[in-house]
Amino acid sequence: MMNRIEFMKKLEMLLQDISESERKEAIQYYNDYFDDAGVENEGMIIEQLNSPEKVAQTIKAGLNEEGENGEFSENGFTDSRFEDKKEVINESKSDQRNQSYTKQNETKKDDTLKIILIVLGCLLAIPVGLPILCTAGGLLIGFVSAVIGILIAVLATTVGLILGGIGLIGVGIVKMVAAPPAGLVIVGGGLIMLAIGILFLLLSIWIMTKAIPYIFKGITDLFRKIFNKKGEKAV
Amino acid sequence: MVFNTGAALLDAIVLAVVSKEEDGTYGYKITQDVRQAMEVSESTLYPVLRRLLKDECLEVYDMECGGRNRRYYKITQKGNAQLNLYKTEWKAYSSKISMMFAGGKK
Repeated sequence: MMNRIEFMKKLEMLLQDISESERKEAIQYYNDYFDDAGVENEGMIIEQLNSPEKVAQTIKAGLNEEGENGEFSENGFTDSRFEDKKEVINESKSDQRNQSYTKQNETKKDDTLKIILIVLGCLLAIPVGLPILCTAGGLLIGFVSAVIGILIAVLATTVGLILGGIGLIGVGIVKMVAAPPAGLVIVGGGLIMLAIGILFLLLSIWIMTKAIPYIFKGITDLFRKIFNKKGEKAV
Repeated sequence: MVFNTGAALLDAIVLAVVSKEEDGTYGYKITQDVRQAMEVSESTLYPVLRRLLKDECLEVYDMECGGRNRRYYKITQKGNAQLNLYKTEWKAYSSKISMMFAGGKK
């Protein structure tokens, strides 16, 4: 079971989508509550509060409805709009009556069944999930390698073209002394090579400054998405 | 208890509990006191107190207590008027029901 600090942390996180003042009020209330109840009652209160999710739900329901809907019974707050989530606040402490006793048992059984199903699901997913994960990892590494390879190729072409162009221009100038027409042709070729080299230089600058950051951003976004999905499931 | 409690009755009970303490009282104690009349869960009262605050039937102040600030709830004039209204309504309502039950026994 969570302790008080974990409980409050989770609650605060779950209340991120309400206004700061409402969140502070609620957090102060439950902090006071724990303080006043004393350490010896901490476990009991956490158990009765059920979960940070349910407390957050009650708080948010209170914010939205302004008391027009719903009904408070000895078992807590009931609201037809939240009928399916009724057990929210339903667990009453010392209620020995059969009705709610069986109800609690059922919920617990449900929970156990759920856990078993989740564990089974995970076990079954390993033979399928592992290869998929490996394949995805392999694809990712391959993709990154391909990008790096292309970058190296483009860079090499750039260097080759620029150096070759400059070289040809040099040779052309020397040749012009002996045979001006041939020299001019060579200088012209050198200039063309240099121009293409400059274009490739621009391309490699683009790859380094735009394409690679973009790809890495895509990859991190992908991971974040996967991670977030897992987080939601845990909630 | 087999009867459900409407929001208004819970408001009335909370107002009654808070009005008993001249210097105000705090969340945990309010919950414990309300529990003398009915079973409420630990999270039931926060929305109720918040609503009563917003309706200006209650006011809060913080007081230092054992090295921390504890939030106290105190009834306002408006809250007292509201409580009196609830009390009158409850008297009429409960006596009618009692009368009906007594009459049904014949």
